[in-house]
Amino acid sequence: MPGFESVALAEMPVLYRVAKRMTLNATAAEDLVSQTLLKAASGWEGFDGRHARSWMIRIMHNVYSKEMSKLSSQSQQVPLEETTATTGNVWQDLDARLLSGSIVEELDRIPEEYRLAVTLCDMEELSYEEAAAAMDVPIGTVRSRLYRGRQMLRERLAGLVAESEECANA
Amino acid sequence: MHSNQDKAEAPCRHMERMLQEAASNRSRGLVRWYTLAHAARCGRCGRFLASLRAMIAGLRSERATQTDEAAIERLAVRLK
Repeated sequence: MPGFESVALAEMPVLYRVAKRMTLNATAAEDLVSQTLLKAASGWEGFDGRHARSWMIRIMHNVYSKEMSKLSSQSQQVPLEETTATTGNVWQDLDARLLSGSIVEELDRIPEEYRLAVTLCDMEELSYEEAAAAMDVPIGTVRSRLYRGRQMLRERLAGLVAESEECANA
Repeated sequence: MHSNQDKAEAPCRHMERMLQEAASNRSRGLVRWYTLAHAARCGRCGRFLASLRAMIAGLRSERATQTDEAAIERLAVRLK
């Protein structure tokens, strides 16, 4: 098995991006990765060597969940809003919007458990097995959270298109 | 919450799971063939699949912009 440092260095960009989607804040993400690496280093001896990425993300999720439960009254979670009615085929205009970066902004507005599933499976391209290990849930739960998360994101993006159409028609 | 337009654009109920799997290239063989063949003939399912694919491609293309090289450097220094 490779040494901890080489695995940690290789996984750092993924850990940082996932941390950013969890915390919604660049500084907090950096701190979270730092704490995760400390915990991972101390647990490296007991790690079985399978799915290092999932193992580290799971540690990170546990660290984050503990922090969040301490600060539950100050949660940064943004509540879901109802999307507005849409006109026309909203997906015709979507490609340009996706390129403009609004897709990540909208991803950050969906609840954390769904956001994490979409981040791991769609953005980071983890397999269901790896995502299940990272989230510490069964594969079926990963699937259902992914489908629901995609649906929420799709509705939010459709709402954006509708808003821009309303502005254009005003 | 579904708007009327979203309801109109929803895929065939029995296809949704297969379309979700096909969108991220996780389905294989006969199931994948059936899904794509259905989506090619059914407008609603075809648009649903196209929208999921566009969304997933958008997420993947954003991956590079979400990596802060300076932050990674700082973390790497702390690790050593």
